[in-house]
Amino acid sequence: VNPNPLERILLVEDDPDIRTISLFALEAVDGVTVKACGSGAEALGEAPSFAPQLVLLDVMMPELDGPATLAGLRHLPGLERTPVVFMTAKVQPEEIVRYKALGAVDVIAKPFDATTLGEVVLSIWERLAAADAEAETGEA
Amino acid sequence: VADEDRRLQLSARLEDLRRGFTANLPSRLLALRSGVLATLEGGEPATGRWSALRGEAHRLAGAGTTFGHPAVTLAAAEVERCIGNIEKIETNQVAWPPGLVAALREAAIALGGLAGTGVEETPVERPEPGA
Repeated sequence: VNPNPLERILLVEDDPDIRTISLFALEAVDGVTVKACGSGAEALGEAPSFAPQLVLLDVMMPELDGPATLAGLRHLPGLERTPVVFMTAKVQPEEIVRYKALGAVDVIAKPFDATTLGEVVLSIWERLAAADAEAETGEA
Repeated sequence: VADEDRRLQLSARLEDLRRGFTANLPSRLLALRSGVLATLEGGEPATGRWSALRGEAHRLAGAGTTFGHPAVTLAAAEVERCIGNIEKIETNQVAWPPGLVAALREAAIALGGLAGTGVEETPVERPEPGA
């Protein structure tokens, strides 16, 4: 049992179709509340009060794109270390290396299967929790 | 039972979304094709227009397969790639090479062609209860 269950996801996606289908898929995960934002600017405004445990962030958005939004999140109190997962169609190995160098913990490739999106996100969360637990054990 | 109910509810909601996306797809494909062809025929740098057209191609590429239309994803991704190439040329203030123009025109026509090939009738797989 994960001692820190996933309860709050911030979803940032400019395409209304993808945003809605992602929202429905994530809301189907037991115990999860999703805040959906249509732009990076909106996400930066909503994030402090929503206090997400995980952020799903589209890479290619007009004006404030995914990397710029991630950089902005890192300057917000309480979001300095919140895990961010990029969602993108650009998943060449060198691009994934770049996303992780920017601070993303993982990448979800587009197009994705909406029926399994919740499971994918939960598996990422479980992996992060396991890594945290291992790090704490190592420090003890 | 709660998990099963949740799964069925999700499937129903996703199917509704897919139907809505699919109903609008032919008009979106034709609009993108028309926009690309009209901009090419204008024959002049059109940074703002290319950006908008590339954005729509990107959205269709990203959503196509998710909503059950993999051919749309492939065709729209090609349009997006070709527009990106044209934009790079414009950035360098060089005339559009005929090869790039031809590739984009072909990609746009192919994308628009999907509007008349029954994309609106693509079946949606829905899991059977208990599957």
